[in-house]
Amino acid sequence: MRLSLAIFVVVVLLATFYLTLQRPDHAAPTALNDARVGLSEVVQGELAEFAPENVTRVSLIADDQTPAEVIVTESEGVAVEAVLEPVDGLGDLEARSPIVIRVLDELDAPVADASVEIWGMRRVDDPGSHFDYRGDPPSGSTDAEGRVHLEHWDWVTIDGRTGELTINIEHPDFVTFSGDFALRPGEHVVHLERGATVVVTGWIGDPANAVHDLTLRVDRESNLGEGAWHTLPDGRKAISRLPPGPHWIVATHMHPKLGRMSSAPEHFEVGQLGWETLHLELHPPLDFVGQLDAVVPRPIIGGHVQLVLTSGGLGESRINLSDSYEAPVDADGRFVIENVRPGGGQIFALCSGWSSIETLADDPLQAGIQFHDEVSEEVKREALAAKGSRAFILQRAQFPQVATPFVVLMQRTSSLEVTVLGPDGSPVEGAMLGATRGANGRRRQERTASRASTTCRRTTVSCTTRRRTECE
Amino acid sequence: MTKQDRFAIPRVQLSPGEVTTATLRLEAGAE
Repeated sequence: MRLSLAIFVVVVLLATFYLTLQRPDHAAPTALNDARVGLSEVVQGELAEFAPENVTRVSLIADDQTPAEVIVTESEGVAVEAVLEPVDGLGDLEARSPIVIRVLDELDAPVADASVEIWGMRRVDDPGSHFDYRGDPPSGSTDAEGRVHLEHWDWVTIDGRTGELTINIEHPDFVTFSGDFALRPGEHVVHLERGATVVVTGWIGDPANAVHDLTLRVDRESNLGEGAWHTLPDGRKAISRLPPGPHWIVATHMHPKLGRMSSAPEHFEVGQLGWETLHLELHPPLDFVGQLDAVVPRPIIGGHVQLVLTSGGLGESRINLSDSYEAPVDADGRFVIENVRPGGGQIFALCSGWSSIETLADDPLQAGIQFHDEVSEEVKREALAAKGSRAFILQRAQFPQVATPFVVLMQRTSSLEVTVLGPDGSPVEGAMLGATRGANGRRRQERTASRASTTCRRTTVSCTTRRRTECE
Repeated sequence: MTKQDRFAIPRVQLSPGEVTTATLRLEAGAE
C-alpha cells in the first residue's frame, strides 16, 4: 500500500514537471524585435495594433529617455498586458558589429587595395533617414581576396537601430562605388565596373595654342574626389574611370598674365570602356556687371546678389554641374561679380525690404514639365499656365552677358506678424514658428520673443518672396 | 479632433510691402 502511494506521488510529480515544461511561456523574452511604439500608445493599451504577429517583445524609449521594454503576455487578440522593464544594452551608442565587404570586378575576380569607407547610416525603422557616420568613419583596404573587415555602430541614435550603411569604394582602375547596404548576416559583395578614359587639353585664341596645365571639374554624380585626374607624360590631363553615360566638364587654367581662364561647360557622353579626347576653348576671366531694379529706392541697404550657373539637372538629366558666385550690392544698386566662367543660370538678390522677383519660365522644362513627344508652342504655353505660380522661377542670366548692366527685377518683401497663444489664451513665449512659401519656397523660422512691457508676445517673419506670395 | 485636423497647416496670403498679422492658438497635446 505504501509502495503504491509512493509510486503515485512520484508519477504525479513527474507529470506536473512534464506539463510545466510543455506550457507555453509567452512572457519569456526572445530576440529583440525592431517594432517600436511610443509610451503614450502603450498607455492607451493599443499595443496589439503596433506589434506584428508573433512578437513577444517590443522595445521603446520612455519619455525620460530611459530604455525600457514592453513584454506582450498574450500573443494573440487585442487583450494585451504590457509590463515596462528596464533593458540592458538597448540604445547602447558604443555597441558595434563587424561587417565583411568583398569587392569583385565584372568577372568576379577579387579587387585588392580598394579603399572602403562607411560614411553614413540609415535607421531600420526609417529607411529614408540618413545620418553621417558618428565619429571617425570606419575605413580600410581590401586584401588579396578583395575582402575588408570593418566595424559599424549598432545604433544610429539612442532609439534607432542601424538598418543600412552608406559605403564608398574607390580604386584607381574602377568607377567609384557609392551606395547603401541593408545589414544582414554574411559577406556583402560589391561589383566594381571599369569606366571610360577621357583625355583633356585646352586652348587659348587658336586651337593650335594648346594648354596642358588644367584643373578639371565634372558633374557631382561622377563621384570623383580630388586627385582623380592624373597627368600623362606629355602633360595632358587624363582619367580612366569615368562612369559610363552623359557628363558635363569645365576646365580652368591659371594664365600668368591673363589670370584665371575657364571653358564653357562641355557636354559629352562615354561608353563603359570608351575613349574620349576633349579640346576645350579657354576664355579670359570676365566680370558680371548688374544693378538692382530702379524701383528700389536708393541708398540700398544690405544688398546682396547670388548667381548660380548650372548645366544639366533638368528633365531626365540626372547629372549637373554648377558654380555659385556672390557679391555685395553698392548703395547705388550696382554690383560686380568677378571672374565668372561662361555659362547660364539664375540670379537672386535681396536688400532691406526688397527681393528679386520670379519670372515665367522660358521653357516648360525649366519648370519641371516634361513632354515625351514634340509639342506645339501653344501646348507649352498652356502647360506653363496650368502650373500656376510654380511656373515662375528666378530670373535667368547668361554669361558672357547679352546686355550690360544686367537689371535684377525687384519687389517689396512682405511681413507676417504672428501672435502665439496658449490653450488658455495667454501669450506663449519661445514658441518656434515656421513659414514656408508655396510648394518650393524658402523656409523661415523664428522664435516668439517677449515684449518688455505688455503681455503681447509676437514674432515677425519676413517672407522674402515675389509675385503670388504665400506663406503656410 | 481627427488626424487631418491636427496636421492642417494654417495658410495666410501676403502682399508685397504690407504687414499681415495672424494669431495662432496652441492646443494641449495628448499625453
